Amino acid sequence: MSGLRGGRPDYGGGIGAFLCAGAVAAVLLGVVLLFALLFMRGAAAFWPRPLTEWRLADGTVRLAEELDERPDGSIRARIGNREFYGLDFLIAGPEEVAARSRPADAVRIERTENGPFFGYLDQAGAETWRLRLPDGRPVELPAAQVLRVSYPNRLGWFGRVGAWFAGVGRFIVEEPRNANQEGGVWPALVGTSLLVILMSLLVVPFGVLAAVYLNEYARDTWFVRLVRVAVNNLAGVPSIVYGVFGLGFLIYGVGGAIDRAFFAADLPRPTFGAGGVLWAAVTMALLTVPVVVVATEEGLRAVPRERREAALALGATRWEMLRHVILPGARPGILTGAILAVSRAAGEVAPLMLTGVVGFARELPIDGDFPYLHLQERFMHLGFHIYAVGFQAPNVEAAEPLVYATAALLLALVLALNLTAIRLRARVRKRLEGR
Amino acid sequence: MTSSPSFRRRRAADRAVAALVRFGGVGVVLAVLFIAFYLVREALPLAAAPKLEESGRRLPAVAAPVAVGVEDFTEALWELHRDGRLVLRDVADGAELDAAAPLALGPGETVVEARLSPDQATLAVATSSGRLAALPLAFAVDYDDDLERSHRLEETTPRWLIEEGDGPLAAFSVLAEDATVWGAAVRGDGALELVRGRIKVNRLTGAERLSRKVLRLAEPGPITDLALLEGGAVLAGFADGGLAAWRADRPFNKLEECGRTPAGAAVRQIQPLIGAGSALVARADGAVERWMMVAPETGRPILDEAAEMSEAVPGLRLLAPSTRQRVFFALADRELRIGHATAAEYLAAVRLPAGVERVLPSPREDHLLLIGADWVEVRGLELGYPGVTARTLFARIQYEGSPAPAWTWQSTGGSDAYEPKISLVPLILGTFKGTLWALLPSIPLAVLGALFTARFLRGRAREIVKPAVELLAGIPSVILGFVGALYLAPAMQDRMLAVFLLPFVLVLLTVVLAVGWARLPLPSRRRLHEGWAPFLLMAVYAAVGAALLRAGPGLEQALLGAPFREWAPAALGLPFEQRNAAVVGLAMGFAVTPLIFTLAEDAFRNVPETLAEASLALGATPWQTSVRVIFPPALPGVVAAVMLGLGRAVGETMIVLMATGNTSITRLNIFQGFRALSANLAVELPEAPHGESLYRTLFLSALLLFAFTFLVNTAAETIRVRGRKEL
Repeated sequence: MSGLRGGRPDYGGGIGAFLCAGAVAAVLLGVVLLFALLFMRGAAAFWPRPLTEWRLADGTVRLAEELDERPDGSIRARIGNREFYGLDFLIAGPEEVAARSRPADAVRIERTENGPFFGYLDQAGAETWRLRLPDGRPVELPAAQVLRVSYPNRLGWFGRVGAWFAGVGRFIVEEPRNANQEGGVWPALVGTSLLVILMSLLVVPFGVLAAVYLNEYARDTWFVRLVRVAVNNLAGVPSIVYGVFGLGFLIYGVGGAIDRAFFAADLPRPTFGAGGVLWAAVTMALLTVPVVVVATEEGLRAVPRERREAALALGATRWEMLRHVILPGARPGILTGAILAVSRAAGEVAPLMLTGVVGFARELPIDGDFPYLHLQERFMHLGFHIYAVGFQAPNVEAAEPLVYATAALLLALVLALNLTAIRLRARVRKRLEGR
Repeated sequence: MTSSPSFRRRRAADRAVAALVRFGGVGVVLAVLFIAFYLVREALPLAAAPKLEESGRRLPAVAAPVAVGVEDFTEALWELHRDGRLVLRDVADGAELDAAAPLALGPGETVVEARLSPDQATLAVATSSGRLAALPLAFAVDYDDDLERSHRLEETTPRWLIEEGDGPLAAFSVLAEDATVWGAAVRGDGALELVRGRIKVNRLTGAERLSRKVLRLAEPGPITDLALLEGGAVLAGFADGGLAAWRADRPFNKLEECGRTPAGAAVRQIQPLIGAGSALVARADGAVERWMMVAPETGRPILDEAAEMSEAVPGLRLLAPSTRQRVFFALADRELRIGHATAAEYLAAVRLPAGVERVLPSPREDHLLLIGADWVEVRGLELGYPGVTARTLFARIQYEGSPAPAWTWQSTGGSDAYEPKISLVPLILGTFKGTLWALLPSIPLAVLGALFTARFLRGRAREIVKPAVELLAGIPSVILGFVGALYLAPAMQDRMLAVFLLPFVLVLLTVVLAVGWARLPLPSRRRLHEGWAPFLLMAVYAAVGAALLRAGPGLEQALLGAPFREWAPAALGLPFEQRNAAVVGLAMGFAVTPLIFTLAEDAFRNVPETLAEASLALGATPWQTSVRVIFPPALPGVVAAVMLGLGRAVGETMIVLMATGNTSITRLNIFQGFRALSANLAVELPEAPHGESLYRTLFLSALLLFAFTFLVNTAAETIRVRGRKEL
C-alpha cells in the first residue's frame, strides 16, 4: 500500500517529504487547536470561578470573577451588578489593583434581570433580600428576581465539579433568559431535534427510493448517467440556494396556496405562508437527498451479485429479492446516509435563516396543546443560536461563554454522529473491497 | 408457467413496487432538478420589457385644462383649468365628482402653465400676471357600506412663492421638501430668482405661514428651461445648449454658480426625477442626458453629467417622470419610449395614435395617461422590473450624489425616492475574494498533506490522520464562522504581522529540520521515524507558533514602529478592518482543507500500486516515486478536488456572513472585509418584498451561485472520471 513498504527508513527526498509531513502536521494541529478551543472554552463556561475582592487604586471595591490575563499583565474580569456599575466587565492593570483577597462569604446571585449580583447577603426575606455591594453599600433585591445563590469561595474541589455538572445540566434543560445571554438552550435543542426528525422522515424513504431506482431498476442509459452526475453535483450546490428555493417555492408558493385554501380567514396574517419548522425540514430534506442517495447506492453495490442471482434463481420476484436480500444487505449504507444527513441538518444554518429559524421563540413547536405538533411555528436551532447570540445579543461579551458552550454542545452532537457514520461506512467499504 | 393465485399476487406486488420505485425515483430526481428550473422561473420576469396596452378608455375633457392627472386608484381624473378651478371627474363616465378653486386668482388673472412634481403631490402653478405658487394636491377616499370607493378633493392652500407679478414667467420650477418650499423662475424682466419658503406653523392656532427669502440674478442669459434639485440647487438650460447651475451660499446672501457647460444642441426641457437628486435634460436633437449635483470631498457641490441615454429619440417632444422609480417616458412624434435613467437606456418603444400632446403615469404606475388637446386616454401600463437591466447589474454607474461611476450594491434606502444600487459586481468580486484567500493556504496544505498521507503514512498514524480530517470536514460552518469572528478576528488584529510571517517561518524551520535530519546517522533515523514525522513536527510547530504569536504585538512595535493595523493604512494605503479577508481565509480554510484533502488522498490512492513498485524496484526513492510516478496520473483527481473545494468556498455562507463586516466593496485588499453573494442572500432575502425587483434580483444572484457551482462540480467530475479512465 505504501511507498515505505520496502522497509526503507528514509523519505528519500528529504526536504520535499518533510514539507508534506509539515502539511499534515499543520492540518492536525488545526484540528487539535480548534477542538481544544471549543471544548475547553465551552466547558469553562460552567466552571465556578472564585470571587476576588479588588481594592482598586481609586478607592473603589469590586468583587471580580477573573477571566483571563492579557499579554500586558492586565486582567479582564466580570464584576456583575450591572445596574450599579453600568458595565459587566472591567480590565485592570496590575498597578490599578491595590489589594486582592478572597472573602469566604462573598455571594454570587443569579437573577432574572441585570445579570449576576456579586456581593454579600445579609438577609433573605420573603419579599425582598437585603444585600451589600462589595464596598459595603446596602441594597435591596426583590426576592422574585432571585434564581440561584452560591458561595463560590467556599467551594472545595468536589464542590466545584458538582457545580460544573449541575451547570451543564441546567444549560441543557433550561430556557434561555435575559435576551438569550443566560440560561439554557432547551428550546434550541428541541427545535433542532424536531427539525432533524421531520427531515429524516422525509429524506430517508425518498432517498432510498431514488437510490434503489438508480441502482436496481434503471438501465444504464445516458439519462440515468446524467441523473447520477446531477445528483452528485447537487451535493455541491450551496446550501443557501436551497434556502432560497425553500423561501420562494415552499413558503410563498406552496404555503401561500395552503393559506388561501384553508386559512383564508386569517389572511393577510400568514399561517403556512411564513417560515416554519415544516418548510425548514422539507428544505433540509432536499439538501440532504444527495447524501442519502450516494450512501445508499454504495450500500446497494456492496450486496454481492451472487446473492442477487441466488435469490432470483430460487424463484424470487424482483421485489422479494429487494426486500429480503438487497435492502437488509444495504442497511449499513442506508444508515450511514441517514446519519450523515442528520449531522448535516443539525449543523447547517444558512438555509434555515430563510425558512423559519428565529433567535428566540416564545413557544416550542411541540407542546401539550392540540394538535401538539405545530408545523407552521417558527423554531429555535442550536446552530442559529450561536449566530443569534454571538452576533445579535445586546452584550456579546457577557454572552460569549454561553456561545462557546452552545458551540461545544453542537460540535459534540455532530462529531458523535459523524464518528458513527465513519465507522459504519468503513464497514460497508470493507465489504465492497472484500468482494 | 403456473399461474396460481399466490404467483399472481406476487407478480402483482412485484409490478406495483417496480412502478412505485420508478415513479418515486424519477420523481425525487426531478424534484431536485426542479430547483434550478424554479430559480430561473423567478428570475426570468426581470428580462421582460415594459408593456403598454394597445388601446384604452378615452374620455373628452370639458374644456382644455392646463394640467391633468389621476388619483391613486386611477378612478378619478383631476383637471386644473385656466380660471384656477380644480375639477375631479369620474374616469369611467366623465361625470363631475367634486370641484374647488383653491388658487383665489386676481381679477383677469389666469393660470398659464402648471407643472406636476415627479411624486405628483405638488403642482407648480404660473399665472398670467407672473405669480408662482406651489399647490399641494391631495385626494380623499370614502368607503360606503359595500366598500365602494368614492373620491373627493382634499382642501389645500397654495403656497405663493412669487406674490407680485411683473409679466408671465419664462421658466419656472417648484420643489417641496420637508418644511421648505423652493421656487425658481425667470421673471418677466429676464432676471432669475430663487425663492426659499420656510413653512412655519403656529403651535397654538395651527395656522401656517410661509416666510420667504429671495435671491436674484439680474442677467442669467436666455434660459429656456430650469429645474430645482435637492437642497434648492437651480439647474438651467440655455437656448445655445449650455447648462448652468447655481446654489444659494450658506447665509443665503447671493447665488453662487456651481458649474457651466459649453454650448450644444438647444435645451428643450429639464425634468427632475423623483427625489430631485438628478434631472433629465432633453435637447432639440433628441438626446437625453442625466445631470446631478455632486459633492466633492471638499468644497461646494458641482454640476456633473452622470450619463447620456444610449440613443437619441428622433422628434423628441417631452419627458415625463414616473412617480416611484427612475423610469421616464419620452414622447416623440407618434412614438413613446420608456427609459430608465439609472440604466441610461430605453427599454421599450410603443407606437401612439396621432394628437398625443402629453403623457403622464398614474401615481401607482399601473396606468399611463395619453393627453390630447381635448381628450384623455387611460391605458394599462406594466412596467415590470425596469430598474434591473444588464447595465444596472454589471456596469459602473454614477448614482445620485456619488462623484464617479462605481459598482455598488446598496439595495434599499430610507425612502421611496431612494435610488436602488443593485450592481452584482461587488458581490461576485467579494465571493471570489473570500474564495481566493481561503484557497491560497488550503491548496498546498491539503494536497501536500494528502500526498504524504497516501504515500508515507501507515498503520496507526494513518488511522489517526484520516478520521481526524474527516471530522474536521463535518464541523458546522456556523461554528467556524463564530470562531473566526469572535476568536480569530480579535486575536489576529493584534498580531497580523506574526500571522503572515508564521507560514514562512514554519516552512523554513521544516527545511532546516529536514537538512538536519539527513545528517543524522542512519540507525538513529531508523529508530526515530516510522512515518511519525508529522506528529513530531506538530509539537515543534505548536511551540514555535505559540512563541511567534505571543511575540506578535511586540514584533510589530519593534519592526514597524506601530501596530500593524495602524501601520498598513499609513504605509501601504490599505485600510484595515478587524473582520477581514484574512480571518475569513483562515476560518474557511478549516472548511475547505479537509474536503480537498480527502478527495486528493483518494486520487493518490487510486494510482495502481504496481506503478510505485516498479519505480521503487528500479531504485527510485519513495519521494521520487511519489512526485514523478504517483503525482502525474493522480493530477486530474487532485485538480477535481481543488475545484470541488472552490465550489464549496464560493457557496459558503455562515463563515462569510459572520467573519466579515459584510460591506460591499470592490477591493481585493486582504485587510478589509467583503460581502459575498451567499451572505447577501441570507441577509437581504428575508426582508425583500415578495415578487418585487429586489426579490427577483436576489433570485438571479442565487441562480448565478447555483449555475457556477453546478458547472464547476460537473467539470470536476468530468476531469476526475477521465483521469480514472486513463489509469
